[in-house]
Amino acid sequence: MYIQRTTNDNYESLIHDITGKVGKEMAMIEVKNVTKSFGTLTVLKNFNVEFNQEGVTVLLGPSGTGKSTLLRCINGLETVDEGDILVNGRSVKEKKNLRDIRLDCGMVFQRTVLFPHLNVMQNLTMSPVKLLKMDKAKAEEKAIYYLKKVGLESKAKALHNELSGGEQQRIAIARALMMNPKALLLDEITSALDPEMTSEVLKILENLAAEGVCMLCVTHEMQFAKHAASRIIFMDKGSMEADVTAEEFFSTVRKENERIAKFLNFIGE
Amino acid sequence: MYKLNFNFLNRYGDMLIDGMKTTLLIVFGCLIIGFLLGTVLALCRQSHNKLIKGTATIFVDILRNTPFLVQLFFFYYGLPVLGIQTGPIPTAIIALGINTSAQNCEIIRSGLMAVKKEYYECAAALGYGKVQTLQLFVLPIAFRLAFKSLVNNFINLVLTSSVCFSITVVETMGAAKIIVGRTSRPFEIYLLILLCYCIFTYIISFLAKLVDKKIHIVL
Ligand SMILES: Nc1ncnc2c1ncn2[C@@H]1O[C@H](COP(=O)(O)OP(=O)(O)OP(=O)(O)O)[C@@H](O)[C@H]1O
Ligand SMILES: [Mg+2]
Repeated sequence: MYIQRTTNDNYESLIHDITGKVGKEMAMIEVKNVTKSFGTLTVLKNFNVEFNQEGVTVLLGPSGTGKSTLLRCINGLETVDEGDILVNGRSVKEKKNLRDIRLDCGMVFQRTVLFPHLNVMQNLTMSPVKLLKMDKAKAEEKAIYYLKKVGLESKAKALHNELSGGEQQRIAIARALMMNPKALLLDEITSALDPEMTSEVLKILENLAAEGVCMLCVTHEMQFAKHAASRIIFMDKGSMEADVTAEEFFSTVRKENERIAKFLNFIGE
Repeated sequence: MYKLNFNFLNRYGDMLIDGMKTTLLIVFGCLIIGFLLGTVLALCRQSHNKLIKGTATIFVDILRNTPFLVQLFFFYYGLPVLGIQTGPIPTAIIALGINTSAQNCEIIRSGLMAVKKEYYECAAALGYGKVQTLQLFVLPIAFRLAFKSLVNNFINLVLTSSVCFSITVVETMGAAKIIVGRTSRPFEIYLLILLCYCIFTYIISFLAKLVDKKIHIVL
């Protein structure tokens, strides 16, 4: 089951990795009957969902319904109480799988941290060098490729406090992409940003989506959901309320489902 | 009017220099012990294991709440009763090194506590294990945050090392005392070594500022 990671010779093929399919019948991420509680508060209730390595899936739902918790369970930052999550067939319950799961699922958080003692370039190259044993020069070449992609090649030497919030998020996206994840887990990565920076970051995400990078994002940005998402999952109080295509969601589902209509009205959509 | 006379330097200059060399040996020995043991103690105090945490806490508390001179005498005159005997210089290095480690522990620990949960999660999400996270992110960040205080502590260590003459170590202060006994020029001699300590700590502060400029970080 263990898939050996290798560093490829040129980044063309590395780029190909993230768009390439997992190539198995099973879904890339299988969330099976997951229940997760914090104390007496049950955040996920017998939650089931599968994600294949394709397109952009947007997770929507009111605050506190467990969207972040779901993403955090998928890459093992939270443990599941009942049920199981398999990423490429590996269970998150086994400690020894966590490293591979996290390499498969790159994650970017709402409040990103770039490591303060490393400049942008070092933030990007450290993980491939240390974790994938990539050659340093190659990692730097690759970093430049991704810095260009997020429009920040001029900031290679900058420290985190010399970057705006939006720029930090773009670097964080690049840092996740450096590891050739099979999917990106993005948790409200624009919600701490002002509108201008938000659109900068969303533009990057839309470009990546167009290139076929698989993403699983929690966001309240409906325009982004409309443009980029292929699938929309609506969660409410720890359960799945809808799991439909984006077209369906914004046409029929929003009319038929009261809760969804209410939610969309509430966020002004 | 008292006339200064530094002629004793002709005869005893070498002795003073040897004393200074011994001081350097002691402080750099202590620097290494203090830094390494201090880091280990700080990590132990952060541990979730109650036994490890408790032991480290008691150890550090005892060292921080007792006079160094008494610790030094305990090591030099007390421990040999149990058959643990080392020469004056090694004893000085061990005793002062351990004492420094307790002070460093608290400083490094405050650096460690400044490294918030987000950094650990970010490293975990990238695929780093616990040890790598510590080694590549947490400790480097904590040390940088603690750097200035660690340097202050080092300067303290240099000054405190003069106490080691009391267990017959002929370091700077010890040499000065011997020379005073032989020349009866206490004013000149103590003035001279006061200046030496002062210059030495100034140099350390100056170098530390240069280093701090390079490694300074903001969270
Ligand atoms: N570590 C924790 N300890 C205790 N309760 C927690 C913890 N993490 C999350 N919760 C609670 O679990 C619930 C779900 O949190 P979660 O962050 O998954 O919601 P969310 O859907 O991401 O909401 P938002 O849109 O506000 O980010 C919330 O009520 C939250 O207070
Ligand atoms: Mg959330």
